[in-house]
Amino acid sequence: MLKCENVQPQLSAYVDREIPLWTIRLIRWHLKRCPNCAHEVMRLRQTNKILHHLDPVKTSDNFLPDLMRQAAAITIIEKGQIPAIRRICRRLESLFAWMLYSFRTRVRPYAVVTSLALIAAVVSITLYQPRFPIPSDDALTVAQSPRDKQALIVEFEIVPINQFPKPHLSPNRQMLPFTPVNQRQER
Amino acid sequence: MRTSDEELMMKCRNGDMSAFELIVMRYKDLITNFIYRSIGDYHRAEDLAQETFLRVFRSTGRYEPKCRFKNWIYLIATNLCRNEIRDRKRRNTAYLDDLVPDNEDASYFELMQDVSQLPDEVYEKKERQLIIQQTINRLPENQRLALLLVSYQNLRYDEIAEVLECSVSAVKSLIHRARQNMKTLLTEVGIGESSHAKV
Repeated sequence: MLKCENVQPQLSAYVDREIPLWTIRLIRWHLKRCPNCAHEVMRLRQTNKILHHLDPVKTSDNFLPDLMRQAAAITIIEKGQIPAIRRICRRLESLFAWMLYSFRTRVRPYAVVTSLALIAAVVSITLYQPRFPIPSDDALTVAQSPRDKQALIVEFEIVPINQFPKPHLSPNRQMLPFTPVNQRQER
Repeated sequence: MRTSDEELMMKCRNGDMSAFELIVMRYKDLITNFIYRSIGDYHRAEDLAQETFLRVFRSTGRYEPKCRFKNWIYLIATNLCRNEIRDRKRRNTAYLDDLVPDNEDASYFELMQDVSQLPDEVYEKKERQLIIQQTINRLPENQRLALLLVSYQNLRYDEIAEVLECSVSAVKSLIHRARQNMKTLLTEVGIGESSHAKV
């Protein structure tokens, strides 16, 4: 719960609505229970209201013509003082600054859209699952050489370690860890 | 579509005088009002407003839209106001010798034509405004500027922080103290205890 000493310095910002929404709610909740702080808010609002009693002043009619005359005079003086090369450089500088400004202000929405599209593309590629499974290298080998198809179908039997036969080497000197069941029965 | 101030400044940088004129048209009343409320002298406020715009014009070559143009122009005006206030303090010039603007008679004439207000009411209103302006001028410099920026120019606290070159929390405290002081000063002169505002 907020205390008066915490609320009081915030009241001016509360009147101007320059504090976060949740703080506004907390202060409003406090104000319903604290007549002193509520009175303080009332007085601050009243002061604000009094300040708005002042009528705005308007500039005189010759304000703008005078000012434009002075600005034109500055331009003429500067033109006379600055050499032509410097003026061209300044023009180029301003052109570059203008391009930079346009890039900064106008490219931002396009950049946001492009980055969103990129993120969407990456996500869709990551989550994409093909309708038919991609065949592995082994399957491709089987498909390519149907003669070896039978050789790939191998049955295994779990044998106690003491009954485990000695491994024998195949003709091409590769070690086969298990002997196929059919061969053992024949033996 | 309304062309942004920054875009107008970039056009102005390319030598477009009509863009500068448009900027002046947009801000002349706001800046003059702000300066007038700060120093309390109408003629000087107009001079300083012109000086503000001339400074903007002179620095168009160096202008880069890094921050908002509005904050930048208020920063220039604020610096001019500060210089003026310090100069006056040094010279010990009376602040409120020219509180009544030059077009005072004209405004009285306009008010007199308004049949809904009696001459007494007009006079009372003017007196009240004079007292409020005097009370504003009694505030310390930074508090006054912060209060004017938030009350009359409707700037946000972060924008005021940029203009016054301080933190947002400092602005919050400045405005709070300014309001407290205003409240006390207005009560002293007998304004501000009558009506009831909604909480």
